[in-house]
Amino acid sequence: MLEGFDATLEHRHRLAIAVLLARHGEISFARFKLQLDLTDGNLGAQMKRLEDDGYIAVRKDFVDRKPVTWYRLAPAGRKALDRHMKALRSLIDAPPAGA
Amino acid sequence: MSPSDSIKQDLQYVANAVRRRDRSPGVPAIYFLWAFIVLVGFALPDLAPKVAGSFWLVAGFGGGLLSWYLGHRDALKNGVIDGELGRRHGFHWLVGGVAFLGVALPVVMGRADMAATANSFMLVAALLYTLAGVHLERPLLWSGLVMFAAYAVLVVYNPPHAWTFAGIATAISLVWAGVSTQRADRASAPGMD
Repeated sequence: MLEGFDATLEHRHRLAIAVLLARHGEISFARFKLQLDLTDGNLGAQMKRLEDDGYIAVRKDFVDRKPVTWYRLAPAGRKALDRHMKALRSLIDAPPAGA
Repeated sequence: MSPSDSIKQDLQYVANAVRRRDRSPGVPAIYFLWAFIVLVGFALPDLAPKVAGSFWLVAGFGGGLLSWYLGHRDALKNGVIDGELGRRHGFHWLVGGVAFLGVALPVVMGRADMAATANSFMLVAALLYTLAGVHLERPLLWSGLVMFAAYAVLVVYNPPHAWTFAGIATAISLVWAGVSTQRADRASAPGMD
């Protein structure tokens, strides 16, 4: 793992989920599926990992009598995302090796 | 693949995912609601000027509250509850409401007559819609530009029934905004889960 990088957010799908939640607040499972073009199983697995690490909070609700699962970024997730983005920025800003 | 190539690809993926919903496309039901309110409300200065003020007071507040409800319902249906964006919308239209009251104040206090002030309402509405189109929902830009054109016609030529025609043109632009947003929504609506 690169220095300062968050192991959970190193995965592109989980990073995208965290970035989208930081940007929009609360997003449903169905919207994520559409936005990230993922299967139920793949998205569910990424969500479970983020939930297990305490990075996202889950809320179940009904919209038009149909069940909807909502996700939002937990404080620990926001901190991890900030740290991860900072590490990414440092890597991008660093001069190329041998320069 | 080197770590930096892998990171570049990951960031490209994240950027694409974010861009897929970078700008709120708007809520068709709200556009249709205001198309109706504008159609009726803009005709009143020509056809029944005495009730125009009362109509806009009721339709302004009532339409605002109904728009908030429709926006919330649309957010639930689309699977994105963006509190920050909601606050921006609320603040934008609240400032607009205050501007309308500011224009009406001299009339209410008897320091200006409605005929001399009426065009200023059109100018404020044009500004509000144009800025909403630039910063919040692109389809509203065209309605704002129609109102600017209507303001120019009102000030320069002041032809008979200018408000009624301005209302018809603005209502058409709002209906068009609603229909085009509805089409875009159908293509990207999520199911339930």
